[in-house]
Amino acid sequence: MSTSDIPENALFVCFGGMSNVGTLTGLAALQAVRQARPGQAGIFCLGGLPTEAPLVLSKTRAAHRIITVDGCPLNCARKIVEQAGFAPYRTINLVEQCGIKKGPPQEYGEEEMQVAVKAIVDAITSSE
Amino acid sequence: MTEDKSREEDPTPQEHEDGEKPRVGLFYCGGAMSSVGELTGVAAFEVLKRLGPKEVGMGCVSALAAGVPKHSKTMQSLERVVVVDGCPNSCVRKIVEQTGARMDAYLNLGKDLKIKKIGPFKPLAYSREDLERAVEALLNIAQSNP
Repeated sequence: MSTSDIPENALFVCFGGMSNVGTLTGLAALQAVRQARPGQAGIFCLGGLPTEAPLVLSKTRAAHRIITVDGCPLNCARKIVEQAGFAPYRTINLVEQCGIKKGPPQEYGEEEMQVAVKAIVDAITSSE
Repeated sequence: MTEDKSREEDPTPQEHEDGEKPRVGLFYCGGAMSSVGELTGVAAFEVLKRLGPKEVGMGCVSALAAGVPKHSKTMQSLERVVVVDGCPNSCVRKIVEQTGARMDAYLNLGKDLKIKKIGPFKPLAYSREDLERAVEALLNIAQSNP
């Protein structure tokens, strides 16, 4: 795979399932990538960083920018990215920055979803 | 009207002690660089939908990897912990092993079910049939006794 095939913006999303906001990061990121133009953004494998998966590391190095998307104030995605030695260009937190309330798994509505999608799309397009 | 002070003081609770704990915890990869990673998450949520939150609860693999101690504690308190990876990288299994967390049963969609890894950056390229097979396998593992 040539570096030109690697998305410009590497999204590292929590996609944890213990709360609504964790799950929202994963689902909203899928929608945000669909709204972006081809090659502009892709969701990477967060689990590949602490386990040092070679292809995940090399593709992350080749991406122009890294955007982390966390749901709750634990900011696990940002911590994992930083612990792996990468510096995020943008960090998004759905509770702290988007005002979405943390609650039980799957307890969210379309309004919260669209707020999350917009935050991610804004981060992707702000780099242009 | 009585105000819920505890919620006011802590609008973003980080403990998950206010609800009944599920019997089974599902820890899924959810990585989206390939179809099988995304499929672990989609299949896990389908299992939650079918079995209900009293039987199954979702885990935060990222919290384990980031070293959040209470998540390991929560895992220990469940009756059964099921771990599911999508591809041969087996990242969740490695994270569980590296952190000394618990794993009672393990499923790898590629190795165990021969579901094809499609990528890179094609998270939704799995088929309806692959989803059903992943859900069936997870249901069997989650419901079998330790």
